[in-house]
Amino acid sequence: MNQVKTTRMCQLNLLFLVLIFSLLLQVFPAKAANLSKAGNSVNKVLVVYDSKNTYYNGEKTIDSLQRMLTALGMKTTTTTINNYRQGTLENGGYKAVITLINWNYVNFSNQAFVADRRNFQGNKIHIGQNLQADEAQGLQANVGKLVRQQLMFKNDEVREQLPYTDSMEILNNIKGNYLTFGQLELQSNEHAKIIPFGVINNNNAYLPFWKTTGLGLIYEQQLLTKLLTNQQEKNYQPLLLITKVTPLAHLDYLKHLIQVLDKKGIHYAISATITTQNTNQKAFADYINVLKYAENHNGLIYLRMPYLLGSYLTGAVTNESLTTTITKDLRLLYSKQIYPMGIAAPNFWNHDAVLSKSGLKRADEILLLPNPKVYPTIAASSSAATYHKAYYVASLASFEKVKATHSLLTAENMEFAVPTALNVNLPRTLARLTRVEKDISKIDLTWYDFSADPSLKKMKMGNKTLTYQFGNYYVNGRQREILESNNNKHKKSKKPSSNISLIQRINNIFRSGSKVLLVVVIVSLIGLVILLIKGWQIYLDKFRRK
Amino acid sequence: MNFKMDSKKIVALKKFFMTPQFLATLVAGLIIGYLMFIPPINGYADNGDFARAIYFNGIYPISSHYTYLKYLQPHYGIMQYYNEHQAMLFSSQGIFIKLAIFINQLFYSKKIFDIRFIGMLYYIFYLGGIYFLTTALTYGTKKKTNYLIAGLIVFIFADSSWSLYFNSFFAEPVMIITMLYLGAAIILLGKNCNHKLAVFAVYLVASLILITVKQQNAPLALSLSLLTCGLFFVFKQKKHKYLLLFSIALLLAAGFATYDLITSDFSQINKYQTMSRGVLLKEKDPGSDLERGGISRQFGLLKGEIYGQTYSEASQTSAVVEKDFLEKFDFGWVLKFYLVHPNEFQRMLDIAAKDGYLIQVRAVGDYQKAPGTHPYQQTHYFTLFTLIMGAFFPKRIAFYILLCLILTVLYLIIGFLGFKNNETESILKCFKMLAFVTMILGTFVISIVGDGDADLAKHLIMVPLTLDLIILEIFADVLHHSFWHPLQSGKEQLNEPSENN
Repeated sequence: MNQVKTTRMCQLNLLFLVLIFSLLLQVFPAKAANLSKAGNSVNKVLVVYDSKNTYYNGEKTIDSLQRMLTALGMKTTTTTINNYRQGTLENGGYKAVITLINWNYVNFSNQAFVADRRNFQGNKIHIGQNLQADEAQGLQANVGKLVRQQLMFKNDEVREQLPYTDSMEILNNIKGNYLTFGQLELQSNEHAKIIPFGVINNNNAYLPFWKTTGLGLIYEQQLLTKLLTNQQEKNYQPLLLITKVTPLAHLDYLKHLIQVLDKKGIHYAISATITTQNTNQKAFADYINVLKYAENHNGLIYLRMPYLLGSYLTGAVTNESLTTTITKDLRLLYSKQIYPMGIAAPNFWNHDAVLSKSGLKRADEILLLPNPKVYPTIAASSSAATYHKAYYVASLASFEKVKATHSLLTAENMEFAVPTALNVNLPRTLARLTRVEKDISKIDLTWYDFSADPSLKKMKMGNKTLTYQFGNYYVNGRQREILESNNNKHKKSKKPSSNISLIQRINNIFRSGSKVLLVVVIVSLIGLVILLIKGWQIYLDKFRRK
Repeated sequence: MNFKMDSKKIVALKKFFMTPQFLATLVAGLIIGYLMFIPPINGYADNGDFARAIYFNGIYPISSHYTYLKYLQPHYGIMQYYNEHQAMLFSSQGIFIKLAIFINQLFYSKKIFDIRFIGMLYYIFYLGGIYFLTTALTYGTKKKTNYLIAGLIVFIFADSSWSLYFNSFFAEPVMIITMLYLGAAIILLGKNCNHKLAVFAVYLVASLILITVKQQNAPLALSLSLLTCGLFFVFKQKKHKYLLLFSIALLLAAGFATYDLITSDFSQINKYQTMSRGVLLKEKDPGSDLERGGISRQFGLLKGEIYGQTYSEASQTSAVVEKDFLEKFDFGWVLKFYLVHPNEFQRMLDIAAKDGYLIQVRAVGDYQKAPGTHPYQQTHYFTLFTLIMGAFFPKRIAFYILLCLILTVLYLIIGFLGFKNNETESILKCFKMLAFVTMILGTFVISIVGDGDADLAKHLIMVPLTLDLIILEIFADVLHHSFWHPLQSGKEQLNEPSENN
């Protein structure tokens, strides 16, 4: 008996400690934020790009780079070369500057930036062409040019074919103690030439181009991690993420997908939106039930931020309205026993003062989705926020599309240096569902199993703290079982007649009264018409000669 | 001699100045002009619909201080270079806007468009319409009561709820103006006027513009074709009858073209709201009905949503919404739904009927931003008529149906009498009433089926417009003692039947 008591006491103490620890955790990031304000932050990165190059999808490169930096825990500030102001690098307390050349045909230049970068003592990364002399000097290499080449990424096992390259700058005769990331094989008739993809030389780094998928992505992650964090390279297993889960989605397909993943023992996250309207409909209850089913079958829910349309009719996106909307969403989810362990949102949310403050900052864990083609800007902000943990989301389909000698989706090829989630859109059609099912079964990866991760996942909602650890959910430290409700529960019950109030009854009487009145009027109208016709005939008869 | 001529001219001028039509136009001109052109100018703020009209006509909002809904924006930019925008819908409103831009560039600026130029254009056409209508209603009589009729026309049509539309890029001003010309022309044609063909031309042009100004006006082609059929009793020559046949074909073709040329972007919005603000709106759990109609139950969750609402659980342009929802139903689907669910339909119609006489758009401000004005401020200047009608006109669909029924029966009798006595005016009146009644009821049905309960005050504008014309005509007929029989040929024809027998 006593022993049971002591173990319970121990458990309580442990919980108490966990709580204290989680409280402390909350304090630390705040301190870090203060530090960064003071300009001493070691994690500030300045991204300077030339052009969005929208026509050639150059925005995707910026988006990808920004997300990767946030996933690395860097506080990123983004600006264009033209808008760069003298002294920014020196006074901003940046740890690194990244020069991104998105459109090499137009040589954007800004003397202030070139001079500041030359004098900058921190890390310098150059992505793309137009390497300047001082940068090449920093890299201790000569710059060469490749024109019209078919390139391949090559590692021990696999070759990934890249799209035809028009022109590219490469580093020749690199001197000193340098590191390389990935290898590019040049296809030429005589002999295969191999050059490095990413290069770090002291505090300088170079990437000839930026890829948003495939081996390129992995090398980029490795290079940035090495240069910016100085830590031993970490290996993250990818998180499987199901996206485009909305109340309007095909729930049968979602449930089927969950069952398939559950059977294979794969843990997965779902980024789901929620509606707070029409919660009395069966369709809503069905949606909630599927999400709960996922929670009970290896799934973890992330709240996907609402889609923003910001129309003239319903008002603008503001801190107040966004806070209200998300608070409502979270409350509703909580009341339905759906415990989201983070927030999923496209990258533009993180680069917007209103959206990141009132939206993303509520969560410890963020899934950073790629930007859609068109998105609203509420309060444009050049700097992005940082989070306890942020995932870089890449689409699984893009990896499948990569032309490689064999699938990249094997454990050997996929070692991510940055927390990464690979997403699958919830299929809309049966054919697509079958395809997704097949694709997932072919993948030879170890997915991230959050239930085996000893670290705690945490989400604050008002005065409640939701935590997740080893597959269990806790609310303010107390474990909660997720009870799936039967579908039968939602019956179309008619209210008993005794509930109808007096006023309603009177209204009903009037309503039926108006119907009676309508009938009376119509009948009398018809009568009148008949009488009118009769009268007219009598009138005519008077003139008839008999 | 000269002096004599002059004095004759002066007498004629004096006479002209004293005619009811001139006085009506003058008074209306003063009342409306004050509202529109004397600062602070009044009109409607943009509710977002302006975009449909302005971009492809080469105008853009000057973004730095452009506000939606709250304040009227007097100035817009005129595009200087290549205009990449394509028409969101096919509309005759473009003619007016293009003309206004031309005048603006001639007199004011090549780069800045002042909204008063389009207002001025509408204003001139509108006053012409008032002159024409008064002429038509007082045609062939020289009674003092004509001034009463003129007074009523001013009271009804100088009302600010109509004229506020002029300082805006809504399509409604075109509808208001064309309805005036159309109504006046048809009255004149019945009254055996001179220059019948010219009046008919006015009627035809007005009808065509009316049909093609807005997608929801396309079905009006049917009502107007019916009305044109009545003209077969007016024009008796064979070549004129061919002309009429051709006109009917033209009207129907215009209606079809307007319906068909709506670009998909535009109809997506309407389709979405037809469901979310219509079919789904009055049902507790619309899921089962959707499933029966071949649409996923989940879309019942869109109940009450507006297309383009700030925060949405799903992207409204996503494949799920477009392919699994919007493509799964059409006009016929919605109509069938309402036929199977008469209760929902009646409830929606009642919502519409509530707004039947709400002409002034309450959702947008009427003033431009200036010290002393506040956002969404509404003007009450010269709005007594709509205020009275808005307050006292019954707000149930049953009433409208009953009213239409009574009018139909009454005018069928008049038509029957006219047919018997060979009074073309009465026959035409009967056709006109049938057309107007179908317009009123049709407008209710189409706004519900076509866009749910969204923007009802604007969508229903044909209802008060038609009703006002009916009220005016009945009022004039009663004053002229010509309700049952027309004035000119009335008496001698009345005795004809007895002589024949």
